[in-house]
Amino acid sequence: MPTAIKVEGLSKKYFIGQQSEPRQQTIRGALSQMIANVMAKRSIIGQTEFWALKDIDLEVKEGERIAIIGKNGSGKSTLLKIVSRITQPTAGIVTLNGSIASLLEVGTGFHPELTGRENIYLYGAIHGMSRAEVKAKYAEIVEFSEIGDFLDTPVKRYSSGMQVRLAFSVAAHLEPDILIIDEVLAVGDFNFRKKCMEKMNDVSRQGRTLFLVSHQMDAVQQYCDRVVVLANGIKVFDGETEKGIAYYLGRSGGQRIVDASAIPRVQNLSGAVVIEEVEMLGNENMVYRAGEPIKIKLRLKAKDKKMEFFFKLVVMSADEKPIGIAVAPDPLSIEPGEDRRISVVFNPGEFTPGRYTMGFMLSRELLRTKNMKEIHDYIHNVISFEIKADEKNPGMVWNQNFGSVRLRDLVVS
Amino acid sequence: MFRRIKNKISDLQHGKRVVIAANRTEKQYLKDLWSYRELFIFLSWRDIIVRYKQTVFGVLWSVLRPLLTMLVFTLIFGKFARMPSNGVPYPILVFTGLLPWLYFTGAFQESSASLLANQNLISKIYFPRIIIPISSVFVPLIDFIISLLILFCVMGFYHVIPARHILLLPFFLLMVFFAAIGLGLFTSAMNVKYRDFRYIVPIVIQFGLYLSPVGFSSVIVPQQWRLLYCLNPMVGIIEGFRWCIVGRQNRLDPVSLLMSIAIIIILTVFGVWYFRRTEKGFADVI
Repeated sequence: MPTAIKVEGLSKKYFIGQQSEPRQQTIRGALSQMIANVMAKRSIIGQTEFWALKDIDLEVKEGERIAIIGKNGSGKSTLLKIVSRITQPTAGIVTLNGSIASLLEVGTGFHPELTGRENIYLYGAIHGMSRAEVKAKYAEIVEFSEIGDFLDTPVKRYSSGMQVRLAFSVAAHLEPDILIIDEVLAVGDFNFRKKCMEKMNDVSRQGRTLFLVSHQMDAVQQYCDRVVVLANGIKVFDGETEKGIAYYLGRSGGQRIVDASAIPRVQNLSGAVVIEEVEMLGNENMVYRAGEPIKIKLRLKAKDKKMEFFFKLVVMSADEKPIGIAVAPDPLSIEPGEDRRISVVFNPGEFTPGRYTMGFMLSRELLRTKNMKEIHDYIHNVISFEIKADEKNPGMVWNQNFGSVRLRDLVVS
Repeated sequence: MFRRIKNKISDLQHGKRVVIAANRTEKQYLKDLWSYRELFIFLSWRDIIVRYKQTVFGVLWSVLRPLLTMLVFTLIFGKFARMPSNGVPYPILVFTGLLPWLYFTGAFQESSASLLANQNLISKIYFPRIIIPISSVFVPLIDFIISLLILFCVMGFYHVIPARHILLLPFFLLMVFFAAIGLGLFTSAMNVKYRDFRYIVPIVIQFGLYLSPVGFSSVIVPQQWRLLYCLNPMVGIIEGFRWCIVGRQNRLDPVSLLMSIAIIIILTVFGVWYFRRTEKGFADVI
């Protein structure tokens, strides 16, 4: 397979202030700084540098579908901007083979005063499509967008959903060799989103290379065969999608045993009892059938006095939205200096298939927590796990679009 | 030896370059421009549509502005100051100067502000950035055409017949065009980095109006100052417009014309050079 994107030793440096407060740059400021520099006989005023990306190597084969994931500020957007030629790297080389289209934001390039029809042509031109190409695909674009009646209405009168539909419809017909997408799948209503996803599948079936940045793990899982995880501008993982997602979601990095003391905490926790270690029992890949209990073992430590506390388990979805909390109703106790080991059984019976993460909380009260001081310790997104559809019930395909939890059965009479 | 140095230089350059596609590099900027050639038209077309859409005053203003300026200048320079007009009705003398001047100021203002006006495009999509300021120079052409039609009406009113040289008008229009591009490229790029630079543009335009022979004929400038005066490229352009349209005593001075051309070339080359140099960092600072 020939290479579509080759990234070698890519680094990008920003000066702090360059990105966050650009508006403060004025000639007056520059002149006064120049004078200050001359007076102080120095050439560079104490600017702090910040490496958004550091020495990234990456090779993407033609037709490969790769996702870049990472927390905010990990450098994903910078990488995307460099690969799509919007900004220049400080060091390193990117080689792209083939035509390229990037969608870093849906609707960039639309002009609110122009009509839908006019905007289709403009949007196409901005993304490198010729007039003839747009014309040839015009009917298809209009049909895909489902806004036929409003084509001669200025886009400023469109609802935001309509704008997104129009933008994605043009974008979906760009047909580049390499398609770079940043989080655009997160838009539109359910049906349109589904349509877009089908279109994306077509794109990859035709052998195009897909370069995606997303926070939505279900989209990553569905469309990508490779995942790169970035953290603080460094590539920390490159490999299979499943493992990459597990690595990113769980701080465990796919491990069953997590050294919890190394996980950063939020401020103002009491710290009277802390979690030292978390271990998942039994299941190697942390994939569970719906209804199968998850067994976890934790090691806790008290600081200096005997404590009574409550244990809670917090579940979040793959895109870090809270799903729910499970509590142990009876308080636990711990002696100072004791290596307290607890075993927990959690039954995610009502969860729809998908990926989740769990975190743990130790608190003074069972439910009423007034301030952070009443929480002894809290670590979130510690371990990720996956719920598989129940094989005994194959007719039922569960879908996260209806939420992550199956509610209690109805009583119908 | 020489080759080794050359290789080294190209290595260094590549260290900061994004190599695009099999044999295309950033060096082939022109090729990129060519593949995005339709965007020039689309961006100008967009700005023109937006400008005249839903505006009654948009067109009315294009008519009133040159007419009112012509009246005021004719009153002040022609009637009160009694400046010479080379046997041409004073309103026509003024209007032939206004024609390139208004186009120049319009184009210069549009292109200076163009990059900031398209911030969202610059930070989200790649295309050769130079397309933005250049395409915006086309927008005031509509006003120029409207003004030209008004001029013909005024000429008809005074029974003045256009000179044969009018066929050369496109050449002089091209000169204004490049003067606006050269300056516009520089100021638009400066605007991205230094937000207070935009306050300089109106000042340049305001002083330029009185430093250029818009309301009067350049013959009033004393001979010993003439060379210095011609450093302003608008002098050669306005003289050219007058020569093209009314001919007669409005001779074309080869010195001012050549100086004008030379300065416009310098401005354009400098503008393109400066723009290309700073263009790479636009997305980071805008």
